[in-house]
Amino acid sequence: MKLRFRESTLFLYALGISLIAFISNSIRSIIFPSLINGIVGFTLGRKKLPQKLLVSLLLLNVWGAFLNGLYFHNFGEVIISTQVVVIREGVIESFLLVSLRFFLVVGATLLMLGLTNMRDLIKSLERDLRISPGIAFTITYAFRLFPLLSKDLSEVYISRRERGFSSMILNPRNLKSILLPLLNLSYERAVWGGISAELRGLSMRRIREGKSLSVGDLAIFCALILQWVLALTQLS
Amino acid sequence: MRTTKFTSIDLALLAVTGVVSGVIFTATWTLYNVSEALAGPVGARVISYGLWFIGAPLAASLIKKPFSAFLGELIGSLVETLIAPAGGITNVIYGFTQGLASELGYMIFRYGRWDVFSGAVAGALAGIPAVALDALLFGVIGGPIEMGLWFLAACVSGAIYGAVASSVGLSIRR
Repeated sequence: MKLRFRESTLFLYALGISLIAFISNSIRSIIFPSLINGIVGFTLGRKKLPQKLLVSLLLLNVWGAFLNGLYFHNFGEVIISTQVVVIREGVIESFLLVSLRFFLVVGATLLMLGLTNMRDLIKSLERDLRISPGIAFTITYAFRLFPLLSKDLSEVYISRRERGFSSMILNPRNLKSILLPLLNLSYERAVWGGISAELRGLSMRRIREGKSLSVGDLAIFCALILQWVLALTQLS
Repeated sequence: MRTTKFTSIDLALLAVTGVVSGVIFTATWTLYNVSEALAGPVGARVISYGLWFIGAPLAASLIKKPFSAFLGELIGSLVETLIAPAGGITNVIYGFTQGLASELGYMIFRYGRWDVFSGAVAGALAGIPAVALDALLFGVIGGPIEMGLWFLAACVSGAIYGAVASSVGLSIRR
């Protein structure tokens, strides 16, 4: 039997799970939710997002967590000492805690993305969580624009490289020279997109009745509550 | 005070700023990690943090209506979460609080100024919740002087990039 659930429930689950990362202050309190959500999330995320992106996300987060530990928690007994860097106990502890937090929030988000598609998620947020139709339109339109803007951006990068400029934003001048052509191109598109949406009756749009909670939704909420209880009981 | 009612064109413009900011927010993760390794925590904040605050001044300077700053930052963070969830759904929490702080930047002028200065103020104010949430989530807590420096670095970066984003928005919507 396939469990049915509202996409908005998964959004609330991901948000609720991510909040655990803010309250957890020890490895013990976060390890269980982190491993569960991280493993399930990355497994499901592989179906929706490119493998390269997931690997780079992991590497980026691990590197960020290590630097964070090195700068802000380098105290306690010396574990590794080289001519370049001294790594103390606090670095390892902080690295593990921050990595687990990343694993938790990214895992929960990937779990949500893996089990839903963008269109249904936005529809469900509008129907079940009553976000305004205008905001729902904005998010949907943003995702429709995304491939077009990515193409525009890659063209801007090509022209910058041909002129010998960096394609990375390294200072405010870089930002301005990338934003200007990108927004110039999109402005007209947005104006006519808005007019077209209005002609199709966007302002007359009404929110549909929400779906009632199913067994699947209740199971997701139970999993969320259980993980919160586990995290709270392990708080130091 | 202007009307808060958003037209379809405003909503479409909000979508454009959301995508542009979302893409820039995603790219900023790499820049932040590289700059932290090379320039330390204060340098990294000056170089990169302001890029995470541009959604608000960009949307506000294009739409010029109350709550456009808040929505610009929030939608940018939502797009960032959904295209490449480097920070997971916590990006939305950051976007929500930074958006509110930036909105305050326009509110203190009673929504009468949408120029580069108000954009800089909005960008600078977003630095406060960003550093506070870093302390909560990543345990980035230092002594009073260090914390002061991090707040200052984030606010300065926010002001610079906020001013740039505003000037771009204003030059497009003359």
